[in-house]
Amino acid sequence: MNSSDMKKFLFKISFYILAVAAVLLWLGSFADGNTDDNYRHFIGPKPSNIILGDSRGSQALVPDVLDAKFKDRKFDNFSLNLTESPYGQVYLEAIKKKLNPDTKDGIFILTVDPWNVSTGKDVKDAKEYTENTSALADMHFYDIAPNYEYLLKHYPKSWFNIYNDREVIGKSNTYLHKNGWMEVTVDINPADLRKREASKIIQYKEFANTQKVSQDRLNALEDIIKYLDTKGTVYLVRIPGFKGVMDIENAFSPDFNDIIGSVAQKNNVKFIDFSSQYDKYLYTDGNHMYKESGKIFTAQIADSILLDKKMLK
Amino acid sequence: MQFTSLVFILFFSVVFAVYWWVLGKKLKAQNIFLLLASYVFYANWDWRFLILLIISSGVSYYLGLKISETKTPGKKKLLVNLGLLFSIGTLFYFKYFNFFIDSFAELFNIKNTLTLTIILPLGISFYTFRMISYLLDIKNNKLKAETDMLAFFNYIAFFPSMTSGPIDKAGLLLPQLKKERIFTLENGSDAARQILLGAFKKLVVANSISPVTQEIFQNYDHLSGSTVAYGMILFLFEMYADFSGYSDMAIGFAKLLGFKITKNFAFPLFAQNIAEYWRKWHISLTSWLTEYVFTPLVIQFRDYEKKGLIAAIILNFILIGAWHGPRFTFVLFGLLHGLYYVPLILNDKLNKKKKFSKSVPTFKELGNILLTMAMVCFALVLFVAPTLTDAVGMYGRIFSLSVFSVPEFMKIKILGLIGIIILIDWLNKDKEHGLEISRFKPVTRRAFYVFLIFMILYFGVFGNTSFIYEQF
Repeated sequence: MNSSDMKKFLFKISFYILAVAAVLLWLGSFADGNTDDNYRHFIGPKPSNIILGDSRGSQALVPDVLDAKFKDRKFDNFSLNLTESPYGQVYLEAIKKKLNPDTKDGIFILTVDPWNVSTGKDVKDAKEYTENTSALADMHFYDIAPNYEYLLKHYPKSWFNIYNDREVIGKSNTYLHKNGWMEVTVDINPADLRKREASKIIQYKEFANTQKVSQDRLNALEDIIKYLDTKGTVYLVRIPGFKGVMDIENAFSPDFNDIIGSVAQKNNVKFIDFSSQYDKYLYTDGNHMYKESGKIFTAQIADSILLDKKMLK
Repeated sequence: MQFTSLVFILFFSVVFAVYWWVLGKKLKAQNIFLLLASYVFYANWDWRFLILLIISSGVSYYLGLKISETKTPGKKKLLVNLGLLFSIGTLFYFKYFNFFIDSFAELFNIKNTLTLTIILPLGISFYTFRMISYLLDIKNNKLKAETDMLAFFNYIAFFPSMTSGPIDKAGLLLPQLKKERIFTLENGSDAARQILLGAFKKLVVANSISPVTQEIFQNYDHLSGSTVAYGMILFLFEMYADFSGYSDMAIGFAKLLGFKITKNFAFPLFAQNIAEYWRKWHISLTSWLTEYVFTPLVIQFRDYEKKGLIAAIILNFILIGAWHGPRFTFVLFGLLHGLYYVPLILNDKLNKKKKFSKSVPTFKELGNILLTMAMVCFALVLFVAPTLTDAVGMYGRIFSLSVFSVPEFMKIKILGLIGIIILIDWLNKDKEHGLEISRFKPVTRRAFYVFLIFMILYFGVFGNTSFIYEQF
């Protein structure tokens, strides 16, 4: 090796490397709730009260409402979506990293529906689960901001988009709050709503044909309950969708409430089922609750939990 | 661990540092470390196939020595055939077994219970060809059997060209593995330039086009003929940017470690006929097949003159098509390219090399280029269509009246990126690679680097890191 050539080479190339690193550091520092649907789940602080589930949970449960109801608690919504956070070992390990390790008396709301305890019919083992490629599977840091680990591993677009789409310019239609609530802003005029519902029905009918309720996922749900039970009180909550989606769900897994009921009973936790009250809320696409309905729905859950807490006392 | 992934950048930085600074002039230690690095790189994809790679290397190494030692022609032939049977048999099992079983069952309407769950080991088509050429070169007295086991195992597993080539000949890489490698500023800078260009081609051009072509190919039956035809043109640029981008990076990384490996592309977008196109596209595969398949076939068929040559070319191209994978469409892709050669052979234009007369192509040259690219795009239908039905469907769309409509998915950004690729290639068409710009003033060079880096940072699509040719 010609060491003088090597030094010159490294000297020359280091300018470009440092310049690129500086630009990336600067751009990454603008990451916020507009960046993507998950970034803010990994910037902390680590919560002691947590909401789990998929995209239904991420949009329907508003931590601010819970914070107001439970004066001395701060909630964090750690629900991502069906592909990334169905109940499984990946989610359990992520919860362990996410949760404040000093938690002793937390409240944990686990939202359930038939889809987040199901897998594809063609899936042979856990190695083929969709969440294996999610951020939950490979993130190490959950409480640093800016979280460059997340951006490097899971932000596929140009980092200039972080800067160009930053929230000071305008909130995105899918805005992730610091407390993990996914605020979705869409036009809810009846005509658009019907269109989205119709498309969701087609999508879910096709989806139901490819899925089956998975014992492995139910076992993982139990594992999560058992883990969280040592750190506070666990509540299982079934969030409804509009009638068309509920019909598909009920046809897909007619005994779903019984299954979850027995899981709850076995682990001595409360199961709050809202599935029969589907017509009391407004949905953006038939599946996800509209944000204003979500606030009402969250308040009802809070009241149920408060009532339960009082009864326990 | 893809070349454009963060993990690879970290991996290569460590390899580079240890290789040059810690191991410096200790050749054996460098080679041991290089082999370990190659195995770590390979095992990162799937460690199970590392065992296959080691066994295959061991078998080829042993047979190479035995072929060299053996004096009796009969025994020599037996050993070569044994080696070929092993290499081709392994490739056949992993790549083609299910295809033949399924096709056989379908043909005779038999219930198929033999299809296996077989995963294709990464790079198997590439390293198998290296092993075959090694054994054949020994048999043909073009090469001496390698006695240095470490060098040989390194040759087979050399990580920069492991997953998608170039398919290096033993005669090129083995001597470099046995002598001290020297790092020079000139080589290092050139390597960095080539890696930068490769990253630009892959992350910016190929990854920007990919979602559009996927959308078109998945929904071709609902789209106009012009859109499907436009999709084929886009795919030509996507595949070129993807594969030549990969090759640029592979060559660049090898160069940073002190190795010169086979050039894989020579500006094929400016080919003026199909023969020239194949002399410039995936050069390491075509030259491999020319040496080990085409030339023996030509010798075999020499009595039949032009007809023999046509037969040899068509067989050679069918093999090129089939090399890509177990699909009838690939075979037809090869066959069509073989047929494209017929007019050239009949008019004695097969080996005519066409140089550009001026810095700007003449109308005739431009016409030749456009015609050649149109033929390539036409054949690409067979490359992208997963089944014959799809291929027929796509051709049906292209040959419908809707081909005269304005195509959908026309995006200024993509057309601009294609323009940049063409311009870069055109400016350097006589050079070793697209960014060999040492002839320019430093300030011009630096401005160009900054431009490419900015393009990568601003327009780069970083999610899709896998390369098209990895699947082969």
